Amino acid sequence: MSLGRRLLFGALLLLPTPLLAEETLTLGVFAYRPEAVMEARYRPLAEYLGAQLPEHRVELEVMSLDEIEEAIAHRRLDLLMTNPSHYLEIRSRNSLTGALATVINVQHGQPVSSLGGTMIKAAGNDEIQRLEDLEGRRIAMPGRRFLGGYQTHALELMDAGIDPRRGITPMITGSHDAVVAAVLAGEAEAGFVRTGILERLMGEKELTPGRLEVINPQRLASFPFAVSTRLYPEWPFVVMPQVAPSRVRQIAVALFTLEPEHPAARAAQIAGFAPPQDYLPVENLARRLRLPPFDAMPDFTWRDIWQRYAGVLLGFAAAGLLVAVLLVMLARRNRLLRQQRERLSLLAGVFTHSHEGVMITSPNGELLEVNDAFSQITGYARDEALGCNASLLGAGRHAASFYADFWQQLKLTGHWDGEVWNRRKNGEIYPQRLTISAVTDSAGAVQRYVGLLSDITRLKEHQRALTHAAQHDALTGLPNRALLADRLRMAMAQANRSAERLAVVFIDLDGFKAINDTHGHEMGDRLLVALAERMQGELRASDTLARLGGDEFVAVLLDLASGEEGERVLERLLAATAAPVEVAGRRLQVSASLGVAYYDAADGGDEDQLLRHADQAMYRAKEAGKHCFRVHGVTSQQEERPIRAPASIISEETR
Amino acid sequence: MHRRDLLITLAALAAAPLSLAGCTPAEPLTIGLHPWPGYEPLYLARAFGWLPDEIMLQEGGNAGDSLAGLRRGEFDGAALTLDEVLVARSEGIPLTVVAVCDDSVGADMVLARPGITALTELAGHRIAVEQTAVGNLMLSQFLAAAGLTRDDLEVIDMAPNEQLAAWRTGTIEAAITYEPTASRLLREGAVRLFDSSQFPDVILDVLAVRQDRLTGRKAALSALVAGHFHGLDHLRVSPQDAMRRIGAWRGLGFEEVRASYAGLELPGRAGNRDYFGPQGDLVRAARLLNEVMVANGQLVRPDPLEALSTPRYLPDIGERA
Repeated sequence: MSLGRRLLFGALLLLPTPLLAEETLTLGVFAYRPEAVMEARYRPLAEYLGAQLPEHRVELEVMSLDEIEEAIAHRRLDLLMTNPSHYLEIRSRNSLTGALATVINVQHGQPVSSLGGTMIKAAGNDEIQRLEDLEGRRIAMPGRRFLGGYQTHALELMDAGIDPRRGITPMITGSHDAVVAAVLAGEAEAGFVRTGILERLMGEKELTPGRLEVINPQRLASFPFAVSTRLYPEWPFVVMPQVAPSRVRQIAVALFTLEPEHPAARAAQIAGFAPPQDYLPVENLARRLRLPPFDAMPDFTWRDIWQRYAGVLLGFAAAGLLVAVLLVMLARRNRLLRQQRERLSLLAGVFTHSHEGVMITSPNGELLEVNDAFSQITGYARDEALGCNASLLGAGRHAASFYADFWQQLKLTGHWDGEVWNRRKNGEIYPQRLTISAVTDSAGAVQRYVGLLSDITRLKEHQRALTHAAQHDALTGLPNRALLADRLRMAMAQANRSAERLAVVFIDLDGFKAINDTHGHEMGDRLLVALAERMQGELRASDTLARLGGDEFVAVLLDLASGEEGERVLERLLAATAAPVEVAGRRLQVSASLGVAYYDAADGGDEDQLLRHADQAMYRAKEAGKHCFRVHGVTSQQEERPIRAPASIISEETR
Repeated sequence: MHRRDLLITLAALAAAPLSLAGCTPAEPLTIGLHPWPGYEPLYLARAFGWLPDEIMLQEGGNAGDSLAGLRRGEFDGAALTLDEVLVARSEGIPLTVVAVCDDSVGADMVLARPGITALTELAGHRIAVEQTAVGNLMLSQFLAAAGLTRDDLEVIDMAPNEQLAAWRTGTIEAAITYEPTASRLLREGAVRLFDSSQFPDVILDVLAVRQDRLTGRKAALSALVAGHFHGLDHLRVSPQDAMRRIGAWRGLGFEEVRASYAGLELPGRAGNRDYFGPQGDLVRAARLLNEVMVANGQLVRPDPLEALSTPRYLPDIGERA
């Protein structure tokens, strides 16, 4: 070399590098297979590109997905070959120039620019036949970010109803080759690899044909690989935005002019590059699987929801409204029911605890309901009474006409009340106060009868006692003046009809005052009682003995056959009163003066007159010396036998 | 109002939107279907489970099978060409179009043995023609374009699914055909002489149902139409996947399937709406078909076109299943 030439060379060395030194472009390739394999396959392609680009050198970098992203972030990559889903992911984060070309794969001379997934299992594993059989299996896969190694499979699993995240047990191996090894070694029941892997491994004599079987094989024309999924576009060749447009054109020319027979294509096992395919299927896949960049939940607006589900939403709203309306109505009903229940329980309390018997009957008298008081009064328990007719209670004391009137009034006015005689279960007949009301419906037809019944036996007794007290003398129990007048009137009326003799005897005890004064009122009273009993004993049942008060008695003698019969009675009375009486160990003796008045229907006159006459006759007897009787209308002279008081009586009186 | 009546009314009001939201009992809906690229979205929908269970797709070999099923009363609807719908309506089957599956813009074609390059060279040869409206329509349009008459050709009644075998045995020199047979014949070396792109907007493939069978099936029908569009979405967005599946079903390669769609326009949700209505393309196409078919004797009298179509089962634009 001459000096001049040496100087020139030295000068050239000192010139700024762009003029002289080659520019370096870095081609990043995703290592979907072991790095050594990738290096061997793609170095010739890098060299080919370098050779095609004037003054450029292309350096190959085989990288993992993360390394690729790191390198892009630092602008260390100019060219990139990676899987389509990763391409979409980095495209969403970086401004790329888009895919420049799509790889054309080749197998046995068959070019193909699609890839898919191949699901594999060990040959003879009969447990896994269909896609659905993969559920819950331990499945080897290179990684979840591998399109052919996981994502294409995941969509098919989803369509078969298996959740690709939770429905299987993943075994992440990092590379396709390791997946095949894991399945062969039995570490995984199935494996996910991309299309072409099996054929390549068999071509490299790494895999003996027949040891693996493909699950869910797809029948596809002109596709040289076993495939289990649908197909997606092959890898894109991407140029980073910092590469000059003129350089991009040169790269494109180099890619598209790469012939299948070229050593670089052969080494890479491709048939060259085709114009970029539409990566929409990959995008749709990523969307379905919610892979990056579609892993964020889509922004749903209310408007979207409305547009999509308007009918259903309206239906739900209407149904909700209906439910609300029904709930309000239900609440109101419940409140009403509660009030009614309270009222009912109040009424039921009255029904149950009333001392008045209550019975509810059908229109024809059948007992439908009775209360406890009913049972107590009638003696019939509720179970016995229900279903029976209310006529069960009747005592048969009333005439048919009574019941006819009863029904007539009930039908006419819807109400009846009165007293009836009924019979208890034990046969006892008792008086009863009964109130019956008809319950009618809106049309006026009788639905029920409600009867209130009370036992008025005691009331009746009390009434009788009162009446008795009003008509009788409290001391002797004999009729008093009022009852006497009554009886006398009746007797007179009877005498008027029968023309029988009627005598009124006025009896006044002689010397009774002295007994009272001597022995006290109590002894006197007891004497009066004893004498009253005696006198009563001397009279017939049809006769009446009354006490007017003090020591005055009146006897009404009925039906006297003759004056003699009357006199015999008078004699007996005189004897009865005059006989001694033993009271509290003492012998007491009095006598009586009797005045008799006979009633003559022809003479007329009232009972007072008759009594007066008897009274007057009695005074005459007193005047005549007591212990005798005098008859009204008969003079003293006419009296045949003067009645003498026994000496003993006198003596007793005077003692 | 009595309170009880009020309650009943309230309950009915509340329940009404719920029943509208889809509480009607599901009656099975039977649809006649046969292989045709425009109907593949329905096959895709079935394969991916996008159709409810009450929809029964009855698969026949060709359109004739679907028509026969309709005539027997076994089908509640079918995927047919519009002219077949008109024929069925003329026979008293009250079909109404609920969706347009595709518009043939070249998918129906006349294929001939290699060496025959001009239309007129077909004179005197045997041509397989399906005795359907489309077959006849294609034939009449082809004859008109070639300046030939029906007597210049030996017309053999043969449905497309029988044509491949006939082609291989040399029974026919030409065929009026459509996919998937067209691709198979092209693979055998057939050449295309004529296709429906010469007269677009006439051969429409539609989904038609019997109006008298819709009671209790409206939800299923909406789901069927939605399933078609779901399948169509997949075909459009993931053609690499969808066309490979179709290829596997029909015995075609991926590229052949892709080629089979070259002559078809598959209107989506929005595009479908343009076909409906009094000024829509459906009515216009039906009027044109009325003329052609009455002239060819395929229809005795023009279809009155009443209740020919209804857009009420189309999903809302933008709605995705």
